[in-house]
Amino acid sequence: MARALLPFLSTAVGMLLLLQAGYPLYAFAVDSMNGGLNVMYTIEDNKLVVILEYGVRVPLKEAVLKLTTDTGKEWSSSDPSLEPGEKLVLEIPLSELEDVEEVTLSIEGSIAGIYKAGLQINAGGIQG
Amino acid sequence: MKPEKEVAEWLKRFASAAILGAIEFAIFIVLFYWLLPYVIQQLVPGYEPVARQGYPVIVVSMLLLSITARALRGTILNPIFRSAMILLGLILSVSIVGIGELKVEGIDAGGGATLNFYIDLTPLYEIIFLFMILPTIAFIFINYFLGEAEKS
Repeated sequence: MARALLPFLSTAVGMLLLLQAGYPLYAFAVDSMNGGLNVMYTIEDNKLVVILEYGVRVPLKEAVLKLTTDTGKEWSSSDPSLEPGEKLVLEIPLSELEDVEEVTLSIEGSIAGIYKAGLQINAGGIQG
Repeated sequence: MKPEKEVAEWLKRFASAAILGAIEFAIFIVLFYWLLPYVIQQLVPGYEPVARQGYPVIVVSMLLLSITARALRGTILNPIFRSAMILLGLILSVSIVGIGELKVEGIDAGGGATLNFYIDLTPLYEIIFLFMILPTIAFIFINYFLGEAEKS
């Protein structure tokens, strides 16, 4: 009896753990594809304000929003646990962005504290 | 049993195992070289399936282990070869998806911007290895030794 049940039990436990560990990954993939990671920017008081609106249903632990330029400058903002509906904001003085032609915006963190993940947007050809 | 008869018996076992192995191999090719890359490509735009580049050494080794294990059913070599085949299967899956990290690079985000992302899948591999692969290997050996105990 135990011999017949052993493979079913181990598979069932494995499947349950996989479902539990796979859910944050699934939620992150689905929500981020449906606009859950919304990056916006505005210019206020001679500052470039970059806002990450986090709309994914699982938290992003150790979240870091970072902007680097081709001139070697870097700005970052972090949150130990970015929850759904929260925002991460970066404020960069426009004077610091003179002569910049290319910027890289990266978002890094750990999905539900399980999977380390990163997203990087490179934008070139910036003028003025 | 006469030696000639024993040799003929083993040849018959290996021949039938080879036929079943060829069928398994055909299913494997359809699943991993065609169906799985197609599904991943539909789910993750820009993902270049590495499965089609092929892992001939691992795939042929798995096929040979499967045939040998089936032909040697009832001997201690059967669970050893089956376990080795399962471990090679895990190595193949990890090789196809990527070691640790799933990376997608160079997606056109519009306006001249490109997008790259990565996800570290190590926790998933750990669960699959600890709670699915290892118990399966343990079960193969337990089953074999219990079968031997029942015989004697």
